[in-house]
Amino acid sequence: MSEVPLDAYLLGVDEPVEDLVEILPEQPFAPSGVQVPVELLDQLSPMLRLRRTPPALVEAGLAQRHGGLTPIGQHLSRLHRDPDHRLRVDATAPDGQTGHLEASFREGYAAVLATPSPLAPAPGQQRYDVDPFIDVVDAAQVPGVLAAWIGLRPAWSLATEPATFPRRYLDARLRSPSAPPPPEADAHLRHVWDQTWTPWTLRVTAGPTVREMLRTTRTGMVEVRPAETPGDIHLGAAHSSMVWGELIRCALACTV
Amino acid sequence: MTTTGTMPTVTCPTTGVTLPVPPGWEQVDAPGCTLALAGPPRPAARNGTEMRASVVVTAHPHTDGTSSDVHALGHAALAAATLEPGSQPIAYDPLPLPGAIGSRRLIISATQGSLPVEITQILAVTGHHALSITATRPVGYLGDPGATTSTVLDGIDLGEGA
Repeated sequence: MSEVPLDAYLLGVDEPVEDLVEILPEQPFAPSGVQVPVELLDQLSPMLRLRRTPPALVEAGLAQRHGGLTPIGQHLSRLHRDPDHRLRVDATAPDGQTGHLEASFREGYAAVLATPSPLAPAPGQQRYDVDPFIDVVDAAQVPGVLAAWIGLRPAWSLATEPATFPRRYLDARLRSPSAPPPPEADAHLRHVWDQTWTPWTLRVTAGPTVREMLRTTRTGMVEVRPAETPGDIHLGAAHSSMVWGELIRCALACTV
Repeated sequence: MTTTGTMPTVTCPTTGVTLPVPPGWEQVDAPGCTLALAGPPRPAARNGTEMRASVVVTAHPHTDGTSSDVHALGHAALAAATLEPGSQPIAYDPLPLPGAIGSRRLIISATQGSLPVEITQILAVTGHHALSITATRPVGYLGDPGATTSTVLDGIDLGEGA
């Protein structure tokens, strides 16, 4: 008999699989790079000549004390101000705070600007409306950074019914965790509905894509798509491997 | 190496596991592994750093005390995946594999040196062994067929001795 804890819900429907929440700890997102006020980032220019260089830029190694930008500052400025493509993820914490990650791509590199993540939060009280961290990375590193930021992790995805229902049920659930699912919801959808949700969106300039997603505690990522009937949505599981593949495709699309 | 169909294959004499060998790939020596394949060097980062995608098979017979429980095998792999700095388990699911009593697929985002890589581990419990088939490929330039490992993973044959 296995001593590995099993997922109680799935064991109850005769699917004896590992309890991934129990055996796999959350991995909080750890931003890399330097923390810089966003208004200073927007001022960055290769031609930067300020009477007094902001100390934050000097401390971050982006500008010289008596002059223009450092080489890394110039590189970052080009990426931030004039990218070939951008990719952005926004997420809303249960308390309503928002965080975001933006990657600006150019010539195989990316400037990644990230606040702390509501999707992969650090333990304890976390503020998301703080100055972002910014780092310059090889574009191939972006999918891994994105996966860490959105808290992508193994989960048991469930096929839920109905696949299509009025959006008002979802909006009510996003406003209040106690809002009920559609009356015809099957047991799997009710189980998904009972999880803690963190909504997030992905936008990519290298395509028309805007993806609306939910991160759920035990049932992984769930995608929300508009249905043909106005006012209705499709709600469906997005297996972690599919989301990972999508992150890679998006980053590659921004690179070429 | 033998050829079945259109692609050469190689069979591990210890476990009976057979893998296809895509064009440009070759069998290589890897300590501790019963079978190892490596692809051609390919650029894997903007600075031109090259990497060879690889697939390695490790096997432990149940007679050495290795668990024959796929839950325990998966649990151990998940735990190991969280120990490496910069390593993040991404996906985990049952993978029907003919000849296996139980099997799982684990996908990990990790780094090898400074290169971002995707690691796919196929974990399988057979009648005689606990098998781990681990594919590593660069995240960058996945559109390059020379860097793909899916051809090898899609062609796994655990063999009649499983």
